Amino acid sequence: MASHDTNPSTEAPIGGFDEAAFGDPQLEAQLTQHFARSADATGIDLSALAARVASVSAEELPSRVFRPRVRRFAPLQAVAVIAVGLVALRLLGPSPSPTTLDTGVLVASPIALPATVLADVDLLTRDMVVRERVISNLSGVADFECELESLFPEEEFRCDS
Amino acid sequence: MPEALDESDFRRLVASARWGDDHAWRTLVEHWTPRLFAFLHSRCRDPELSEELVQDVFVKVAQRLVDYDERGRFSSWIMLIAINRLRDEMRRRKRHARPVEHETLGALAGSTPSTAADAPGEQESRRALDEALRSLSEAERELLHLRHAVGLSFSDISELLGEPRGTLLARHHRVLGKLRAFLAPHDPNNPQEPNASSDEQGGAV
Repeated sequence: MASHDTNPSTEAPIGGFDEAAFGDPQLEAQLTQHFARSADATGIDLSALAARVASVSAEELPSRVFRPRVRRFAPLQAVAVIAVGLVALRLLGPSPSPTTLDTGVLVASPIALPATVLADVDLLTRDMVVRERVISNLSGVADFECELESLFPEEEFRCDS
Repeated sequence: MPEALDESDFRRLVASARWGDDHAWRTLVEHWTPRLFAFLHSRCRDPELSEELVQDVFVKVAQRLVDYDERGRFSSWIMLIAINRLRDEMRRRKRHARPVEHETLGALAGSTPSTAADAPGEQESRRALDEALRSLSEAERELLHLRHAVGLSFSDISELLGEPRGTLLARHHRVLGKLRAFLAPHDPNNPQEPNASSDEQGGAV
């Protein structure tokens, strides 16, 4: 097993310290060799260890950890983002004309609904108005029940008259 | 043998590894594995534990790569993780160890195995150096391990230990002087008798 090169790097003098003046090249080389031999004498194949460690630890790299999570939650995230975006656009987007009351209070503009929805709402509203007028013109309970039966045939109203 | 790399190479490799470059990550691991192993083994003297810790250190480095601050030195960062991991393991073992295991870590620490290729004089020289290293304090040995087992610069060690570079240079100089004084009686060229009191010294090498 080849020992690694651990010759300590020498640096240019910083702050007035010259490393060479503090060293003992012969004894330092002896120490480096001593530690390298000590590691070599264990018989551990460091190349095989490095390959094994690289393989195992690579699974923990950020790119490996985060990508699968993003993939797993992508559809859900996409739906959530689109929904939030639509709501945000509706609430924060440009409104047709902010309405100001006489008191000066700014109120939100009505939501502009699609024409088909408005038509449905209109029909429902008219229907309810008609039913309400019919009910209000009834003279008694019997008439009321009969009228209910005619108005809501799907419900279980019994007309006694 | 892994190619020689410096801090600018580490920064480049870390940036690439973050984005999933397997080759960059493998290069970092191949460069640092022998150094980490040499350091950890010199501290705990247990090859299997050193192997295990090397793997742990790289798993931690990979996990924390996203938070790594590129303004600092990678050498100091990875060695700090290694030192902390080793300390945690030593504390854990100390809590759960049987007496013989605790003794093993300390008492066996000085014995560097001989190889068949060692000449008798060389074996004696290595044994003397082992004893000399055991005579040093923990901080002094750590400095020598970081400098000569890992090959860190004094600037790396300064950032790692949080001590001024000048202080470390002076300490290193003093430690070398202690070793020289300890080894002088064992020098075959030295007419003095070998130091008989060396067996009283103890501690991890």
